[in-house]
Amino acid sequence: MSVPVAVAERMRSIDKSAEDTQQAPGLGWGALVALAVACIAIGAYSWSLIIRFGMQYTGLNRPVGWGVLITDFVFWVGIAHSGTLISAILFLFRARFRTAVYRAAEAMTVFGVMTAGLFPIIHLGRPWYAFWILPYPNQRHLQINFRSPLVWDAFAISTYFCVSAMFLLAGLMPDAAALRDGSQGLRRRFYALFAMGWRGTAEEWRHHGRAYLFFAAFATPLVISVHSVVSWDFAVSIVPGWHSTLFPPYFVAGAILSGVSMVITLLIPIRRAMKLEGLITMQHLDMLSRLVLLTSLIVTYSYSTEFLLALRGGASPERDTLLYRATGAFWPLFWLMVLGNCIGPLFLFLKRVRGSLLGLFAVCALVNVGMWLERFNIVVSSLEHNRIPFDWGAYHPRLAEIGITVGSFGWFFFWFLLFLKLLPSVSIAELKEEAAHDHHQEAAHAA
Amino acid sequence: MSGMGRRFFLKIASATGAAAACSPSHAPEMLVPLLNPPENMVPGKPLFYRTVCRGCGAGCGVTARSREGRVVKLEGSPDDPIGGGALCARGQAELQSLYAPDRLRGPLVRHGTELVPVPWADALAQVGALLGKLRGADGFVHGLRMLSRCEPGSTGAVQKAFVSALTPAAKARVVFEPRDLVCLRAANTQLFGKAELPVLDLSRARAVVSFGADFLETWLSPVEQARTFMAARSGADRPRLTWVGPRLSMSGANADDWLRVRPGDELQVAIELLRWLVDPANRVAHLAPEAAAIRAALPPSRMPQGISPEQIAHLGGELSVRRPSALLGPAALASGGGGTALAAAVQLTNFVLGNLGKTVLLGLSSEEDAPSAEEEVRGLLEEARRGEVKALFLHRADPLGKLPASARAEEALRKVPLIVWFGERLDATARLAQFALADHHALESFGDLEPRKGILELQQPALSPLWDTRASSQVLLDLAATLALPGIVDKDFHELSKSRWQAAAKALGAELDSPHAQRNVQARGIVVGRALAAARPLRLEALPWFLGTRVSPGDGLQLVAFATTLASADPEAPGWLREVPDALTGVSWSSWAELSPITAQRLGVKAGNLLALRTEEGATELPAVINPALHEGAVAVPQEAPELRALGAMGRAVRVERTGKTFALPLTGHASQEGRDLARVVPRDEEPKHDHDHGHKHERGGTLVPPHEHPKHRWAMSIDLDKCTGCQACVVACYAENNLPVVGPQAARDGRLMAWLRIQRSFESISPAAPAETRIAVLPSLCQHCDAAPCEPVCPVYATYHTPEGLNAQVYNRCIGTRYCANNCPYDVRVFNWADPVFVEPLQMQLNPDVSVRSKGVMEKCTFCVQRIRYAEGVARGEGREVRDGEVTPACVQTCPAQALVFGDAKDPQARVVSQQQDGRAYRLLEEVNTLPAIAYLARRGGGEP
Amino acid sequence: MPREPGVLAVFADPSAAARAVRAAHAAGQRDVRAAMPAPFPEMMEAMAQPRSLIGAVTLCGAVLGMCLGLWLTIGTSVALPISVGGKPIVSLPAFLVIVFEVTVLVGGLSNFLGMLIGAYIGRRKRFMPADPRFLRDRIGVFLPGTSESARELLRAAGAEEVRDVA
Repeated sequence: MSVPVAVAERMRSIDKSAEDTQQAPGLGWGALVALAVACIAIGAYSWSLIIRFGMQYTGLNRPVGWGVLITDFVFWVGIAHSGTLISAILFLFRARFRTAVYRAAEAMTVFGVMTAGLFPIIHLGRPWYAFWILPYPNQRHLQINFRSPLVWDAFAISTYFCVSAMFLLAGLMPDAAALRDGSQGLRRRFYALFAMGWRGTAEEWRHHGRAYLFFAAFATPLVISVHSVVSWDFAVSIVPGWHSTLFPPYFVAGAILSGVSMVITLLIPIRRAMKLEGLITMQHLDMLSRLVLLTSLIVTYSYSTEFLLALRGGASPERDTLLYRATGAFWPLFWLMVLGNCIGPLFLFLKRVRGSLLGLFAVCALVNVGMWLERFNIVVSSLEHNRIPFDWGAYHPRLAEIGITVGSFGWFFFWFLLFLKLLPSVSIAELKEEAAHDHHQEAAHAA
Repeated sequence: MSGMGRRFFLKIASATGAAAACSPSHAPEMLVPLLNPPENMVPGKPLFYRTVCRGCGAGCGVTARSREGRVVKLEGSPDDPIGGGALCARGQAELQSLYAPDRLRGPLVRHGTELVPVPWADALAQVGALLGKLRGADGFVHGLRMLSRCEPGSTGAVQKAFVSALTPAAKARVVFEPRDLVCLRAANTQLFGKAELPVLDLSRARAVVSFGADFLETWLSPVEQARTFMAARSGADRPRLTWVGPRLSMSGANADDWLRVRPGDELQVAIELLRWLVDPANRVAHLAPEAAAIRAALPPSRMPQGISPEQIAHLGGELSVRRPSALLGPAALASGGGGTALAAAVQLTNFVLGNLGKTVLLGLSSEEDAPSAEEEVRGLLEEARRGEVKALFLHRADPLGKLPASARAEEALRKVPLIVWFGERLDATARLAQFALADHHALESFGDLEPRKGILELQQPALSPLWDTRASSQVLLDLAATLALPGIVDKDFHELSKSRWQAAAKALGAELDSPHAQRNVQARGIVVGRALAAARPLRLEALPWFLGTRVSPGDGLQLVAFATTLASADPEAPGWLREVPDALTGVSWSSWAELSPITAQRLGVKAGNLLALRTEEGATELPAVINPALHEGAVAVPQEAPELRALGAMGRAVRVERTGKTFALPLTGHASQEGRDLARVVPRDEEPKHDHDHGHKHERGGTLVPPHEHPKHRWAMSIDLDKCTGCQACVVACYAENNLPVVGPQAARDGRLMAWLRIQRSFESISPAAPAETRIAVLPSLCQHCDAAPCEPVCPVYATYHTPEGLNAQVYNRCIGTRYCANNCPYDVRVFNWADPVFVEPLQMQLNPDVSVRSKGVMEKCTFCVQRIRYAEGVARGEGREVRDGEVTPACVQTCPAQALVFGDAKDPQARVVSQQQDGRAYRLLEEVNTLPAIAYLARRGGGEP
Repeated sequence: MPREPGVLAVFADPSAAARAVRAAHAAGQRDVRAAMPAPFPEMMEAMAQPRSLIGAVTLCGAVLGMCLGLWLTIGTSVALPISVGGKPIVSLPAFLVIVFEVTVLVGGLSNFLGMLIGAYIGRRKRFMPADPRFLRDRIGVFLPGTSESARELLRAAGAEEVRDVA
């Protein structure tokens, strides 16, 4: 077989496997979507209770004003972090293993933000006035308070959503175009929408290349800023257990940890279900799992610093709160968190674990649980033991909150499942580029 | 509005106004402003009426604030020497009994088993007819009896006249006051030959010893006593308060020393103390000459368990030098020989020390209508049981609900053929009545009252009756007319009481010649004359009688019934009193039984476990509460608890067992302050001296940016922890003034009470080794209106901000309910509306129109009663002057009996609040977070040596 | 888009296509057009296109965003001076967070729009015959103007097919 044809072969096989993912969905997929929709329904009903009858349907009280809903918010923002990290930061670092996985990660980012963005609204006492948190000209000359971390949130989250969505679309254009020409009817129109008239001319590529670079350049500080802002929701306050300058890096590391783990937890079943083993190889997963290990170590360091700082120097509300976190009403959750975020990932030092899909999946799933618990512990235990002992209280989540949490998972997976079937979950163009490159390498070696 | 011309519209409008004026109950529905308002009624302008509080026997004068024809707030009358402008929690809550949803809206008559509504005319005709039938040839209704609450005024007079006109029997009218201090009366009868209660002037007392008398909260005349005692306490020579008893009541929480004795041993302590005082060996100077005789009569010495002779000697020594002093006791529900003996021992000690006539004044209690002794009430029931009572009139008396079950009141009352009941809300007894005649509420009726000699209080309606009710006295007069009773000439009760109080007022030296003078008296609502305490000779022959009585408390657990300041345990109490948690235990909406930690541990009981209590009189079940300030020999139950009726009176031996069941007890408040030193105490000897920059130190306390400018005022408050008794009058006043919703037991369990102002109680120095060292600290907690408020910058929509007058304002309409401010408030004083508030008809009529009612999902908190600030500023502006110091008083400050709260303008150097904030004891809460609060707390003074 | 006559060659191997482009440049054919499924480095550098101006567009966007952010935060605070928590009316440190986010937002948007417009103009201005294969597994090189030399040169470079476009 002559050299050129061989390159074309590779490219065609990439197209092929990408197109295969777009085949008419099977029963399993339908069942999953149905399940997701059911979860959304549960969440919607739970929220309707709160809207109609007030926050009494939550377990919140005086002094615990934030609970599961805020925990979910931080959790989903964290989930939303891996995508941009993988696609932007690794892009700048020219880490080649990203190409196969970044599309799925980016999609996860966008849907993660879409989910996270709901919670600041849901947890409001008067959600129907949520728009008051945005600056808009009004006859009452009311403005918003730019000193409030919640306003920072509103800006950071919406910015993050826009940028990562554009990032995703930019990457999709050539691939959508490739699929467009292979399909007919509605599907063709759908792809045409995302292709935005892409034809693959050198003219387009030269703009695309630059733009993509700048997106990466923007997204990198953005991704850091967003979770720092989220951490400031707590760090800017004076609540013992929240008020800590350590929080921004601590939260960013945690976000990456949870995000990458979520990517792995999703990729492992996806590559199996969609037969992408050829494109998303064990080597890719291995690189990702190293990232998990690294961030988990950072998180462990943060935990210990947090405690050492609080325990140093005599009795203080911080000390009481931290001790309460570890030994108080929710001590099992705390130690489960330590197990998931600090101890579990240590197994990734072993190549055997990194190499085994099962082991990897287990570790990462546990990290996801652990990271949710981390946010829960921070939010709840600090509020339960605030500065006035007379008001020390307890918080127990109620059904409505749990329902909304379930709903948020439904909402996230609903979009993700649609994405898997409607858009290429790997970056065709970049894979082709690599394919050609690899081929020539091999040719060179052969010669 | 094509059909409606302008003139017609105006007619309607004015007509509506007039209607609203005549019938306040419709005022809230008034849609158009009054165009030609009735005299002295301007929409938006409050009117103030003077009347008297009938919440308890003390008889504090009251100013009722009325808006658009309905009373919205009760406050003490500053002209009244008893209340002195203050009002207790129960007094505040009288409003809710006025607007109680379950009040009778008209007379009822028994129809089979049901009480059904009936027109007044018919009701009166029927009662008249029945009485007529019962009348014998001599015109008397033999076997007519009346049971009434204490009515020292025209009402009582009418009742007496009515009864004596209908029956020749002596004592046909029995005065039923289950909470009366019977023992004290009995003891005074024995010692001084008169069944009277003393009047206390604690402002002169240099030492106070209370044998279980909750004199700052519920005992005798609490508001007055709190005021006078705390006035003395703020003086240079701080009087020492010693508490003797098995349980620290809220008054005990204010004590410097606690003699922790087994229940029933108070008597022994009193006798040993008396013995020490009269013992020549101790050379106590200036004793009454009878000391020797008393010493002779004393029984042989027996030290009560857990009390050392040194403690007695210490206390005795203190009393011997700190003159005059005041010994108080016993507790309200003490009963039987022990109680009387204790009361006598206490009074005798007062006598020996020469306190009588100085701090403990006899001969001032009202001659009118003294409560009958317990025996008389039981005697009446006995008669009824024998079927001798043919007709029984009940006036606000509920023997069935209030007497212990052992009195078997129901069985007795069922034998009475005709029961005519007067009252506001159906009680247990009313359900047996043939006629339940709806009485006016005190705020709707005329009357006059002589709470004590030399004071005449006018009871004047502050609004026209809400429902189809009639004054019971008027009903009696009407009956008298229909029956043509001899000797009763008056037809109209108003006239009668008017002539009566005018006579009384003249006797007190008030001049009433001109109608103008009359109006003045009515406007003041009170006439104060001179009345002197009488010197009472001691009846020595009485001594052996009680000094002989020995009560030896059993070794097992004993029942202690204590009075609670509010009424969490009383199912009939208004919502405010049930919802505001009992200051000591933190229980709301429920009865409970207290165990000491030791006992609880022994029985393996935890808070909320349901206990089975059994005395020889009966058994009941109550949820357990662990009280570190309780003797391990006692089981304490609030006297308002209905369950108590089954157990009988105090001093009974109780068997306590676990039922295995638990009860979701609405319990709030962590027990300890975890050593964070929030409610501070300064030992007397090392009390910091007055220094001027103390206040400033914190004002300037290291801020990155210069502090706020407050151009005109900077409202500030000081709270003297040495004066605060924890009575929670301020809390209830806050509920009343600021339309705080009552949210009920479930919300209380969930920790969602809506109080803006709370009394934070903490038990200090709790150690099983030395339970007697247990002390209770109270800390009134409300919004501190910080200069650097952490709640403000975190609000995304500016719903809370700092006003130029230094208030931390909350804009309800702008709030979207992120609850971030509440999380970030280090003082936990912000309150979130977890649901829409519910005000059951007609409770909404009490709502203060100056304060908006908050909807679900918004944050709220103390505003320093900004509406009252604005009102005062408006008045000042109207008079073209600046606001005077003390003119602005938030509801809590206004009603504080102990005057522990001071409010004012921190920018006015003459203001009292400024000098208070610069006091040596002043400190800010949580100084370490540097929020620069507007409230300064004055540390409690530790009791030093005498 | 005006159709232009020219020669279109289809390559299976990026490096072959790159060779063709270089040859064309060497032959004095400055105007070479191409289409490909991915930005193969050898092709992109052979094309030697001028650098895209998107950088400038994005920079302007970012600066605009920063000004917008400053105006929004400072402007509204001064227009509605409310004192909260003892903080100054203009609390820059807090505002900078907003400023940063708005900068990134507007910058990102302009970057995206710039790319779309750039690509659109590129398609309009410089005609390139469409062929689905160029999006999948083939590279197309188009030389405007028909000349035998061009055909030769393309074949020599190893084109799979060479055809004239009228």
